[in-house]
Amino acid sequence: MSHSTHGPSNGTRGLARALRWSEIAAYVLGALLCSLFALAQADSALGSTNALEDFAASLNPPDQTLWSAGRVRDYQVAQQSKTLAVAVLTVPSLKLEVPVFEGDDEISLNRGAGMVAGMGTPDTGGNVGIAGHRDGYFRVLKDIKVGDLIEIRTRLKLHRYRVTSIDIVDKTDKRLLADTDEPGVTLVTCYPFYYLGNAPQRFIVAATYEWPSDS
Amino acid sequence: MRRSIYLSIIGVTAVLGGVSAPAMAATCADAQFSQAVLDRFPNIRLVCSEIVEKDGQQYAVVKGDLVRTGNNAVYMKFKLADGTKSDTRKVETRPEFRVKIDGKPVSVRNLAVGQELTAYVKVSDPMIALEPAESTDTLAAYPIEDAAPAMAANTAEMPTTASALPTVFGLGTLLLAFAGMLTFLRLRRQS
Repeated sequence: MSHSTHGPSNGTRGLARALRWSEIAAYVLGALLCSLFALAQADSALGSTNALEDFAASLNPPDQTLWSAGRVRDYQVAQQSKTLAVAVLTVPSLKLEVPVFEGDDEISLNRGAGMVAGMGTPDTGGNVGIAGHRDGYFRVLKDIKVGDLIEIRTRLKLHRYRVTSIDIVDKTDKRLLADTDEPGVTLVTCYPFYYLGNAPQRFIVAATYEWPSDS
Repeated sequence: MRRSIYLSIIGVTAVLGGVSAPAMAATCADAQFSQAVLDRFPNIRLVCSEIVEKDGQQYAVVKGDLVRTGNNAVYMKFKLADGTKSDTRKVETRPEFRVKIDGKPVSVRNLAVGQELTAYVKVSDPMIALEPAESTDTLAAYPIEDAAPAMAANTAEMPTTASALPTVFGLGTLLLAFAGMLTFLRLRRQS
């Protein structure tokens, strides 16, 4: 029995096998991560579009006077199972139209913008906080200017605000989130807009309520 | 026919006018506001749009914009005759109370900032009441308060607005590039 001296050694074969497995693992993991990203992008686009459509439909609920009691119940259950947006935020100068959800969790911010907990709401007054991803819907805020119009449509009313200030603050500085006597809105996103990882600052857009008689 | 319609309109107007404002009704300028009312609401004559009589009492009608809603209260800025607005004032109410917005009855729980509300200020006492949805409803008057809205404590936390998705995509692309490089090297060695 003789061993070939020309074939690859055990060490070389082992390295080749390890590289082969690394190659497969890198393909699988890379494909998984890219698929995750693609899924999130699709969820963002579809979730936002659906939320805007559902919100528009909720403003004009169908006439249910001829519906059976069971159908009305099913409709109400179906409506409750949806994650309905509480408002729609529009900045005409930036062509931004985005659904606003009740919380600022990751799923909500992927599909639109979210209300900052502990702050006011457009209908009840005070300082309304709305957060969005700087690498998503709120990236366009980099072009916002003082004097721009911000509109928030709730189920009760269309509220208009004028941008009064734009600030960049440390991510721990919450002073601009404080309650205000006059109704207003504060848009929050991370800063710098192009930054990998947790951005160290926040981009804050403050706007005050525009009374119908002021406009 | 047309004449009878005019006469009917005049008749209805006269009847309605008689209900809401007697023939010798006071105006905002000559209404005898008590000193207590003037102390609590110094610019009452400037915000008063008319004097009406309800339940045997004279009231000054004041209109304003809703600034904020709170627990059993709304906060309003009243419109002055010169077009400016008063300081914010608190008007107490009940949660089930309904007012009329755009001709429709709306619960105070469903009011929104910016809506115009009407209130009545009692001429003889420093009391204020929101106008009820139905004119037949009795007024629920509360003492006039000049308190500004109580600011909520700043409990809000700065939100995290950076998504992990760009990092995920970057890492995935790098891994695919790495795998592609390994494939390229392997195929080159084999050939």
